[in-house]
Amino acid sequence: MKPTKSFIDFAAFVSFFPQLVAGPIERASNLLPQFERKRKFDYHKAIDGLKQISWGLFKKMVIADNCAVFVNKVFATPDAYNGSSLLLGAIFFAFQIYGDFSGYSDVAIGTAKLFDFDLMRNFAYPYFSRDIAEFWRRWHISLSTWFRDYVYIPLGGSRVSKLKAVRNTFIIFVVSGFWHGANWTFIFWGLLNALYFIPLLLTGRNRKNLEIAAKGRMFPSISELAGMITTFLLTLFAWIFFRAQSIQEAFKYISRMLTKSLFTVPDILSTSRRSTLTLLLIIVLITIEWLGREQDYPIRDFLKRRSKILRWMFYYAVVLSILALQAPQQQVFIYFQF
Amino acid sequence: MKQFIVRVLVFALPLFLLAIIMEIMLRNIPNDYKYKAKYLTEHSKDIEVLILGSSHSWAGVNPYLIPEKAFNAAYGAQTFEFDLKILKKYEFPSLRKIIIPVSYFSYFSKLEGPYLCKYSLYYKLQTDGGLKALSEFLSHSFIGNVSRIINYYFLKRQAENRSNGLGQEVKKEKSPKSLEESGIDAALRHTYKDTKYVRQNVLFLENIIQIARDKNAIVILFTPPAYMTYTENLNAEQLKAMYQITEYILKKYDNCYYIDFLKDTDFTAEDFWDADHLNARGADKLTRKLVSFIENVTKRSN
Repeated sequence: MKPTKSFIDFAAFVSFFPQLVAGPIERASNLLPQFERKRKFDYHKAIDGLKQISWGLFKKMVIADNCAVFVNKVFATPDAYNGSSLLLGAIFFAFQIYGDFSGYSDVAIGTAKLFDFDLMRNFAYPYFSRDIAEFWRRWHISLSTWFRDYVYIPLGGSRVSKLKAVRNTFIIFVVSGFWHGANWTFIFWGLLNALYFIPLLLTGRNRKNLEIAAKGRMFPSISELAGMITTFLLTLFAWIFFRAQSIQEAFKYISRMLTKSLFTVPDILSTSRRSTLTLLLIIVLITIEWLGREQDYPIRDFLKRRSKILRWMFYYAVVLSILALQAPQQQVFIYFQF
Repeated sequence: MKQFIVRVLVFALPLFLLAIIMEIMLRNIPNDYKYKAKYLTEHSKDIEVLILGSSHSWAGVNPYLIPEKAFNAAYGAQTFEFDLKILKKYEFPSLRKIIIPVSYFSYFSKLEGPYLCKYSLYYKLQTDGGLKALSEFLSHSFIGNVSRIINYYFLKRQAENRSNGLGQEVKKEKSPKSLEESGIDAALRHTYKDTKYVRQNVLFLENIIQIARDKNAIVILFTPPAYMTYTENLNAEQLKAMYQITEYILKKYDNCYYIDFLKDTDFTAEDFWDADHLNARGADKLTRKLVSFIENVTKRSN
């Protein structure tokens, strides 16, 4: 693209507040021209922005922060919990990090829309992915595409010998792990994802699932469902390394989780009503996201064909649920540390 | 733009109304702060002995056992900062004695969170809690607010006031938590990672002592008794710092006296509500000991 000669446009691009702290990672090619063009207030876009902000706040304040309460406890003292509680702790972390970061992204994108800016989509229902390659096309898209364009493709991408393609895949995932911090846990998390990805690459199935699962249908096929569950479990396993303080702690967590007590009722549910509520909220999130998965964010066109009263009641329900169900303690955004 | 603003306002209006109605309802629920502020407004000129401090003195000192006209203006988590603000606001022209606990955490803590609004709303004191501290609705969780409203207005359960006529919280025999559990929990909760508030807390306490001196009043500092499950889990460094600071204060001010009950063996398990709070029986025991200590020091100084 042509470099800008306007210092104000450049400074505004660099310091654009909605996405400044934690993304989406915007390229100049997308954002800079938006500073250069004349913007006008767009009513529909602003309403769209507000809806996206409220959905983002719901994911952050209701889902992520509630999950965090138990994740912090379970990961701090895994010895105090049975296997099923530890599994639940890992599931809670999967939704904590998703709600936290995709929630932030929604707030950033929604805020930008109020000013007639379009930021790139950062999450596209990653937990409905049917394989790990699809997951990485749907998770933190702005970072994945950045790595693809500035690391993977300069290394030759996949248009090289299979051996080099495997090497490139390892490099990109390890670099991605490093990007999160200088800790072996992140490196291991990156390596695990590379290991998940390589079989798909070698068999040429890494671009098999490009559309959203069950597009145009209400329910997924058995194979789609199996793919989604398998992919979720694989990412869940990797998230344990991402969340743990050290590799040893992660292995300790996993070894304690994979015991007979994995098949018992999670003791965390019986000791805390809030953990049961959190689990129910996750189910609500999954349901709403599944119903709205063909939209940029699920509540964009939710109840669009229904009466205005019903739609407004739904929006009130979202706002009131943020007020009523938010966690007792607010948590700092996880991605602010990266 | 106009249409957008109108729509947003129309959407937000019921939420604002709900918030305002809830705020009014919440402020109307009787609570300790409101009661104490009202009592002090009406009686501060007669009060001779003022009990300040945290829950340790709120539950631990019985003003009815003090021979002079006393009032317990302490409250849970109340810091020297708010003790000072209360002292300044109500002036207390007849004041002879101030009783303040110096607990393990007193020099290290700062009052934050939902309690701040109580001081700004009911005592009309300035706080650094911002907008949140000016509203009950904003200071507590939505669910918590709804349950407080339901409990008071619909289920007709008791108001939030736990103090007796002279401001003491008279605690029943025992907390549902065991002495072991509450001791470890409280010791952990009261141990601070840093000393960032120490300097200002010392200044607040010194200010209280100076005001007392100007009124020819004495200040009785005491470290309240605690059960061994609490004392055994305290951080030695923080405890040592607490004693050192208190010693510094005592050397500096001649109207200030101190007595340490922390490990006083006269207090047994039967005297405690939980590991760091006395029940009614323990409070009476402590108050009698305090009264006797005050008599001794006043005799000596005369």
